[in-house]
Amino acid sequence: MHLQQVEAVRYGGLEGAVLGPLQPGLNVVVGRNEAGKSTLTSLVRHVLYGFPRGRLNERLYQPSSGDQRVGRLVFADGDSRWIVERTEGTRGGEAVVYGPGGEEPGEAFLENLLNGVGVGVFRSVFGFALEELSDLGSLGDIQARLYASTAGLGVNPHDVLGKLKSAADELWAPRARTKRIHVLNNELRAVREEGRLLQELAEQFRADREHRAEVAGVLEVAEDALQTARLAEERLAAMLAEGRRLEEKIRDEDAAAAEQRLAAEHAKREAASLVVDEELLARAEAVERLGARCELFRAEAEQLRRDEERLREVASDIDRRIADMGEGWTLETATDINLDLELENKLYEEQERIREAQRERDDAARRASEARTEHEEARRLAEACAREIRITGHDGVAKEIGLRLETIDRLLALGAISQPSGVPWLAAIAAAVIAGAMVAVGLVLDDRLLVVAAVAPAILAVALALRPLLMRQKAPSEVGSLLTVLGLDRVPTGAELMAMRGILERCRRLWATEGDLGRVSAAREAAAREAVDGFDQSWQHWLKWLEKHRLKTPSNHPESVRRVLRLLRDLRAKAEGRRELETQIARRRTVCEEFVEDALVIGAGAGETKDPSFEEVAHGARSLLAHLVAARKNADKRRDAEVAAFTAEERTKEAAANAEAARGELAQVLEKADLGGDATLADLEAELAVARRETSELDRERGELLEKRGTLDGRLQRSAEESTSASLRLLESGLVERVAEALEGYVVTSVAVQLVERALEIYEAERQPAVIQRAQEVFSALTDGRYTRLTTPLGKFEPLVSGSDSAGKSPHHLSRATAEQLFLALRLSYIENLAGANPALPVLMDDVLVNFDDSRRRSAAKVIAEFADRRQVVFFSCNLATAEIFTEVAGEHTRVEI
Amino acid sequence: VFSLAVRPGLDLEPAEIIARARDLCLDLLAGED
Repeated sequence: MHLQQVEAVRYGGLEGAVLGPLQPGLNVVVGRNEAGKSTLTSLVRHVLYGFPRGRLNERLYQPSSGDQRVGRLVFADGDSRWIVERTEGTRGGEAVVYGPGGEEPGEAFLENLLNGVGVGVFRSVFGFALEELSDLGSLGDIQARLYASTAGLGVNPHDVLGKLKSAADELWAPRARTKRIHVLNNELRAVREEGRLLQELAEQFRADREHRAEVAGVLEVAEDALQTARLAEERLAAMLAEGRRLEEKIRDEDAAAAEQRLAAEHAKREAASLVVDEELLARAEAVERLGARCELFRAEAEQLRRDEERLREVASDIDRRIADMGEGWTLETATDINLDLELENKLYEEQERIREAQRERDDAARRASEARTEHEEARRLAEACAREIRITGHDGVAKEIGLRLETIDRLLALGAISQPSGVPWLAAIAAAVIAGAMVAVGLVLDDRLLVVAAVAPAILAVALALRPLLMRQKAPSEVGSLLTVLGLDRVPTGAELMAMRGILERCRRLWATEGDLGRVSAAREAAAREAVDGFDQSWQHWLKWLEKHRLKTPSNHPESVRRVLRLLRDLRAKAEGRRELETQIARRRTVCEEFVEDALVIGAGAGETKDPSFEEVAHGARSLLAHLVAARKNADKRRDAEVAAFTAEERTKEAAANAEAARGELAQVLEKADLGGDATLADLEAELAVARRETSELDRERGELLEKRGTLDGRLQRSAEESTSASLRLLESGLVERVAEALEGYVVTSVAVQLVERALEIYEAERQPAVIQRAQEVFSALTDGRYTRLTTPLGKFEPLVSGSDSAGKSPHHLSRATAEQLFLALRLSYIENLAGANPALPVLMDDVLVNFDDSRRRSAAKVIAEFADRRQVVFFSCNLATAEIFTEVAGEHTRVEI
Repeated sequence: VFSLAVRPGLDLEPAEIIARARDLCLDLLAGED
């Protein structure tokens, strides 16, 4: 596998630039300055390891557009292709690999490709420019990585050594103060000093505890005495409270007895002052019954008055309706008529019959009038037509028309018609002109034949002029008589006869129509007269029916009869209502009169008038009821006053008894207090005051003892809290353990440091000669044998070169070009000794031979070409001469120009 | 260094110290912290 193509999709100043196709072995890329050689070298590294971010000391190659950087590498193996594409993103950007089988995980392919070659190694020895060539420090790091990779280690052993030294140094160092073991030792000393001070405090704690026990004994005695004094005080206080309560009760009961006595006397006086109508109370039941009926009576009396008014209105309305019905009607005659459904139906039938006859009469009259009008119009048209042919009157017109038509037909049969008259002057003149012209031309031309020929048109002109005279003929004698019938003085033409015949035909049709319409009009006149007779018969029948049922009206018109029937029905309803109203009035009057009679018996309404009205009786009943209510109220008040007087007397006796009992109880309380036979409540109060003073004194003494005990408890509590000897001992043992642990770590780490140093010395002494030996061979070839020896001290990277005429020169003492040749030799040697590096990983050199002279440039080209036999080399150069040198010394190789 | 290992409270044999130092070196060189 080899790198076939480098594509700068978007990278630095390049966009879409392609380097390739590259081949295995040596590839010389020639390009002018700023053609992108350094850019492509960096692009290969960034695609393989990721795009760097801003903080590194490295050029970033950001596109000026600000877009993401994108690069692509194509690796080839025979016909198979692997494309590694990386787009700028987080953590250097994600790499995607497209292999022969499609897209593949980028990590696996790159991990295999870059096996054991980190980005630092790649930059130093795989893809380097002139400025990296002289970086000796990078070679030291590479040497360490070289050892690590050849020994199969994952890390740089120098890093491990530094880490171990740092760890040991953090734990302990001679004459140090801040190292961990020193700090722990100091903490241990402080803890032990604190433990000693704690012992002294323990002695004070014991003394305080004994003093507290004494104070507690005294406090217990004081608390007993205080308890006894409080009980005595409480007993006296309870007795005093009971005595005061009894004394208060005696005062209250005495006052209550006096108050109840006054109340009893007041109630007795009130009962004596009340007057009650006993006689009215005796009639109370009858008065109440009357009162209960009073409202009903008032309502009935009021309704009676309204009914009477309404009766008068109804009677007046009936009279008015009878008057509206016309003369001859009375209430009796109106109510005698039987207004049943049969009468209604009969009335309807008669009315319909009248309407039908009337409608037939009107229709017949209308049709007769229409026929008469049409007849008159036809006659007017026929007479106008007759006048047009000079026939007057209307009798014998049809006969005259028929005669004239026959005359015309006879004339047409005889053919007695005149031809059109008049001379065809235009044709005659034309023929004459032609004849004249022919004569004139014949004379002018002296052509006799033409003059003779002019005779023909001349004869034609004369014949045309004489044609009317030649065609006139005389009419026969029959024709003359026929013309007389028609009133003509000459023989008409055929057209004139046909026109006369048309007019006569039209006139005959008009007269025929007039005759038909005259007959129709006469028939309709007869029908109209019959309809009038039919209506008269129906009307007579209608009048008889009205007479029979006594329903005649001034007009006898059906509508007026219907109105009379409506009035009769209303009248009958009104009469029925009046009868019901009269019955109701009679009933109400009976009820009211019964109430009046009862009221007068009881005494209500018996005033000055002998025959009181309904209103006066109702007022009297209400007044009597009010008197009854007042009498009952007075009776109730008197009874309540008597009860109150009795109750007050009973309560007076009860209060006096209670007061006496309380005095007895108070005497017993004072006796229990042992204050002597004549003791009072004042003596009890004095005894209680003495007990309270004693209790207060004992309480104060107890408070002092409690305060003292609290002080001692506080000190003991603090001592107990400060008594951290156990925790100090725990802390001390922890510190001892941590010191031992740190010490153990220091011992192990120190031994590990010595182990790694010894191992490195041995390994570098064994391995370094191979690298130095190969570098020495390359360096000798590059310097054309001037420097034949390259050495470095064991365990260090301090190369020294020597030759036949010089010995022991470090790189700082070599010329710049020679030093660059030394570093090139070392790099090529390192790559060859780098175990596990993938052979597909190419080496990119960016114009590293610029400072070499021609001879050594040629030698270097040869060395690089030989190296390219084992690993693909891409050599960038801006110098065409350098490319030509490769052509001369390298044999077959690939050359690419950009 | 070995004299420190026989101080009171610390009871380590030199062989044990060397064995633990070797294990530590191998762990670090293998990249295991």
